[in-house]
Amino acid sequence: MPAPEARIFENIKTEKPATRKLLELDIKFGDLTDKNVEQFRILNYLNLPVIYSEDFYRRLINNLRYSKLAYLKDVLVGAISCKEDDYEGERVVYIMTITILKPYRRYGIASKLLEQAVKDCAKGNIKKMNLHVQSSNQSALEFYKKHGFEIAAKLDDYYTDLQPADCYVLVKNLEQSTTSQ
Amino acid sequence: MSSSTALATANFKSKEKSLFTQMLNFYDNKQFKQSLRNADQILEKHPDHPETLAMKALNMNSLKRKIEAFEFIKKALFKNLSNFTCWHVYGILHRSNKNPDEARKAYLNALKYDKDNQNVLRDLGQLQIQLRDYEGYAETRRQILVSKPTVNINWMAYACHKCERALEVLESFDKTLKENKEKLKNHERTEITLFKAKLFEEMGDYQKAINLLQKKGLIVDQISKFRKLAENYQKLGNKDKALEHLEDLLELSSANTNNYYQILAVHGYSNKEFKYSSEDQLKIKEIIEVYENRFPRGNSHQRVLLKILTGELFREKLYQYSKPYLIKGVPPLIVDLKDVYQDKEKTQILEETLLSHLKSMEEKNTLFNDEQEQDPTVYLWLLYYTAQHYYYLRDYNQALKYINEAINHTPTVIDLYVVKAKIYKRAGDREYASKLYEEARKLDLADRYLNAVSSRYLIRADHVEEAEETMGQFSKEGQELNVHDMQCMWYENEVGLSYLRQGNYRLALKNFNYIEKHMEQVFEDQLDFHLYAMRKYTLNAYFQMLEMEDNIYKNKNAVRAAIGIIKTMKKVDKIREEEQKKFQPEFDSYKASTEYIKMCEELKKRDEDDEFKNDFDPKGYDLYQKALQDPIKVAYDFAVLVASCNPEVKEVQAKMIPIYLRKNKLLEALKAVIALTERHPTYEKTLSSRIRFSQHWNSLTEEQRKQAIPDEKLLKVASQEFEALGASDEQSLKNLSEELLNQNLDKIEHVHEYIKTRTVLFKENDTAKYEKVAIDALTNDLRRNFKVHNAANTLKRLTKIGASDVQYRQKAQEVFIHARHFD
Ligand SMILES: CC(C)(COP(=O)(O)OP(=O)(O)OC[C@H]1O[C@@H](n2cnc3c(N)ncnc32)[C@H](O)[C@@H]1OP(=O)(O)O)[C@@H](O)C(=O)NCCC(=O)NCCS
Repeated sequence: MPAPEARIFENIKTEKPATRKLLELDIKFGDLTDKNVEQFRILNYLNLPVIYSEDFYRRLINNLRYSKLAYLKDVLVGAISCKEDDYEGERVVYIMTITILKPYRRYGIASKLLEQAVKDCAKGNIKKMNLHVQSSNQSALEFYKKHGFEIAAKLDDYYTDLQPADCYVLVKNLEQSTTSQ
Repeated sequence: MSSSTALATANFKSKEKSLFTQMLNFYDNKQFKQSLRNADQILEKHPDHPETLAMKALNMNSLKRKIEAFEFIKKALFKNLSNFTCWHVYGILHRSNKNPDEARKAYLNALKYDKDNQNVLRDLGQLQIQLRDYEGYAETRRQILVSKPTVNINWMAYACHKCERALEVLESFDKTLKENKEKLKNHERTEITLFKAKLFEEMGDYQKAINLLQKKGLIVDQISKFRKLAENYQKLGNKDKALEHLEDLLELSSANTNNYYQILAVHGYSNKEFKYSSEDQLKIKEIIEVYENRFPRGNSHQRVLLKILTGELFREKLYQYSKPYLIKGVPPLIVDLKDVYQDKEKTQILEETLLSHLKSMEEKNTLFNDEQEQDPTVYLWLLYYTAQHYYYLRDYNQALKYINEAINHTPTVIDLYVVKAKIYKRAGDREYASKLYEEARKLDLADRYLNAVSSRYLIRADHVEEAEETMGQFSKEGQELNVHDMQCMWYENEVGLSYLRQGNYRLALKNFNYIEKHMEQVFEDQLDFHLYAMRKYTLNAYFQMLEMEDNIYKNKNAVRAAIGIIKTMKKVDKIREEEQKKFQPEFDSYKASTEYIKMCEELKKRDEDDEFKNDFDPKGYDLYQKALQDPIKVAYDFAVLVASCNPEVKEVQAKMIPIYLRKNKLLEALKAVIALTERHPTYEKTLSSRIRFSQHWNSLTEEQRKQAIPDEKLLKVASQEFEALGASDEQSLKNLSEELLNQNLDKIEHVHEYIKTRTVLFKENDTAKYEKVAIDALTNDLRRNFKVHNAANTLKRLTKIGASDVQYRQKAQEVFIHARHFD
C-alpha cells in the first residue's frame, strides 16, 4: 500500500448517516481477482479505519471463495471478503471486511453481499460466521445485529493503532438463523 | 519448376539431382542457409551450372547479403545470357532492391527465352500492377489466360482493368463457365456481380446496373445490394425507388447514420455543413422522426438530428437523446456529442442541460423535469460528463472540480482517472497525468487498452524505460518487446519524440526509422495480395486496397514520423560537427563492447528472416553514423515521400520547405508554398514559409535558378507562379508579417511565428516589443484556445533571443496554472 499522500484521492467528503433508501437496485456480483484487487483496495482504504498490509492482499488472493464484489450498472460499489478460520475448535467463516461506498449505503447492498456469503457457507458446510468490529462502529453493529449476529465477547485493547482500541466479537449461528432482515 | 527441374539437371548424377531438388525445397520452406549449402555442394561439381548459380544468388539475397547476391547473379548472367532462369532471378533481385523498372526489363528478357513460362509471367504481372502499368498488366494476364484458360483466377486477373474491356472479359468468362458447366460459389458470384454493377455505374449506365442488381440469386450481400440500388436510382432521379431501397437498407442496418443522410439527400437536403434554416429543420425533423418510431432501438436517427437541429429544437432532442444514457450509465455519451462543440450556441445548451440535471439530482435525486428517482450512479456519470464538457472547452479548473467530485463520489471507476489524466495532460502536467493513468491501469490489470495508453503517457513524461516495462506486460516475446515486428507505429513515434525531447538524436532517428521500414514493408506485402485477391474473387476490396496502397504515406503515423525525422535531422544539422566529434568515440566503444559482440554472435546463430528480430543495429549507431554525414538528405529521403502524398497536411508542407531549399529543390519548395497559401491561408506558418522562400529566390542569380530548374518552360512557369504570390521585396514582406500579427494578436502560436520571422528571417531584434506582444497574447486569448506547448515554445524563443522572459513566464504561470513548462 503506497503512503496515503501518494494516492490520487483528494478531499474525501464525509456524509451524514443516511436513512433507509427505498429505491430497489439491481446489484450484480463479481469475483475478486488478482487483476482487479486494486479496486478492492480502494474500497477498504476509503471505508475502513484499518490500513491493511500487502501481505493481507497477497493471502486474500489465495482465498477467494467467500469474497464477492458488488456492482451497480458495472460500477463497483462494495465488497465482502471472508476467510475460513477456526473458532473455539469449530470451522467458521470469518468476515474480514465488508464495505459499501458512502453514496450507495442504506440501499441494502451490504445485506445482499452478506446473504450471498451465508449461502456460500451453506455450500461449504459451514455452520458459523464470526468477525471483529470496533466498539465505536455503530452503523456496523446495527447492521450485524439486524442480520442476527450476537455479541460473544468484548476484547479490550484489540487494536494497536486505533482509538477506541477495544472491539466486539460477533457471532452468527447459521443453522437456526433466519437470514431475512 | 518440376518439369524444368528435369531439364535443368539432365546431365547431373543422381546425388547432385537429389541435392538440387532438396535445394529447391529448402528454398520454398525459407530455409535459406540449408539451401545455400546445397547450392555450394552442387557448384563444386558443376561450377557453371546456371540454375544452381541463380539459386545461390536467390538464397544470398534472402539472407540479406544483397550486394553479394547481385554481383553473383551478374556473373552468372554474363556467362549464360540466354538462360531464362538467370534473367528471372536477376529480375527478382532487382525487385527486392526496389528497382521495379529494371526488374520488369529482366522479366521481359527471361520471357524471350521461355515465352510461356508461367512463373515469370506471374511475377511480371504482379510487378506491372504494382507499378500500376495497367496496359502491360493486361497483356501479361492475357498471355497467361490464353495458355491456361481453365484456371478461374486467370479470368479474374485479366478482368482487372478499366470498364468496357473488363466487362467484355467478364462476359466471356461467364460463357466459358457455362460451357464447362461450372458454377461459382455464392460469394464469388456476389463479388463479380457487384463489380460488374460498379462498372456500369462508372460508365453512367445506371439502368443496366439496376437491372443487374435486381436479378434474382446473384447477390448474397443484401446490404451492398440495397445501397447500390438506392445510389443508382438516385442518380437516375427516381426518388421513390431510391427511398424504397434506403428503407430496405435501414431494416438491415439502422445503426448507420449515413443511411439517414442519404435519405435526406434524396429529399434534397444535402448541405455539406449541415446548416439549415429553422423551417428546413422542422421538415427534416419530420422526415427523420418517422424512422424513430420504426426503429426505436437504434439512436443514429437521433444523432443525425442532433447534428442538424439548433436552438430549442436541439435542446429538446438532446434531452430526449441523453436521458436513457444517463439512466443506463454509458460512458461514451459525451464523446458521441463531440460535434456539438463546433457550435457555440449548442455548446451552451449542452452545458445548461448538464448543470440542470446535476442540480436536480442533488436536490431530489431525479433528473431535471422528471419525477423518477435515480440511483447514485446517475449523479456520478453527470459529474463525469460535466468534467469532460469543461475539458473540451479547455476550462481545466472547472473540469478538475467536477472530476474530483466524481472521484470522491465513486473512486472505483476507472474512466474517471482516465479523464482526470487527460485533463492534466492537456493542461500541461505530463508527469502527474502519467501518474493518474498508471492509477487507472492498476485498477484493471487485464485491460490491454489501458496498458497501451498508460505506456503512452509514460513516454510523454519521458519515462521510456518504465513504458517499455509496462508495454511488455502484453507485448512480449521471450525476453524482447515485440513492438517492432508487430508494427506498433504509435509506440515507435512516441518513443522517437521522447528521445528527441531528451536530445538523444541517435535513438530518436532509430525509432522514426522503424516506421520508414514498416511503410516499405506494407508496400512490399501487397505483392502477395495481388493473386490472393483474384483467388477470392474479391475484386471490389482489391481495388480499394490498390487505392490504399497508392496512399500508404497518407498514414497518420507516417506523417508523424516524417515530421519527427525532419525535426531531429534539423537539430543534428545545426550541431553536426560537434556531434560528430562527440559521437565517434561512443560509436567505437559500442562496437568494441561485449554487449555488441555478443549480440552479433547471437544473431548470426539464429536463422530468422524477420528484419526486426535480425537487426544488427538495434541501437541505431550505424544509422546515426550515416545520418551524421548528411542529415538533410536523411530527412529529405523519407519526408519527401510523405510530403508528396499529403499536399493538404500543412505541418509537413511547412516543415519541408527549408529542406527543399537546402536540397536546391526550388520547384518543390514553391509548390509547397503555393499549397499552403491556397489551402491554409490562416495557418501561422504559411506567411513565414512564403517569406523564407521569397528571400531565398530573390537571393539567387538567374543562372542559379536555371541550375535548380533546368527545364526552361518550367522555370518560366515557376517565375510566374512566384510573382503571382504577390510582392516579394523585403519591405512588402515585412509589412505583411506586421499585418498578420495585428490580425492575430490574441493567438500565441501566431505571435511565436512572428517573433521567429522577425528575428531569424529579417534579422531584427526588437526584444521589448516581442515580449509585450507575447504577454498580450496570453492576456487576450479569452477563448482559452491556445495550447500550452505553443506558449512554451514562445518562452523558449524569448529566452533564445535574449529577451527578458520574467514577466512572460509569470503571466504564463498565471494562465496555465497546472502546466510545468514555466516552472
Ligand atoms: C456497514 C455497511 C457495510 C452497511 O452497508 P449498507 O449497504 O448501507 O447496509 P444495508 O443497506 O444493507 O443495511 C442493512 C441494515 O443495517 C442497518 N444499518 C446500516 N447502516 C446503518 C446506519 N448508518 N445506522 C443505523 N443502522 C444502519 C440498518 O438496520 C439497515 O437496515 P434498514 O436500512 O432497512 O434500516 C456500511 O455502512 C459501510 O461500508 N461502513 C463502513 C465500513 C465498515 O465499517 N464495515 C464494517 C466493518 S468490516
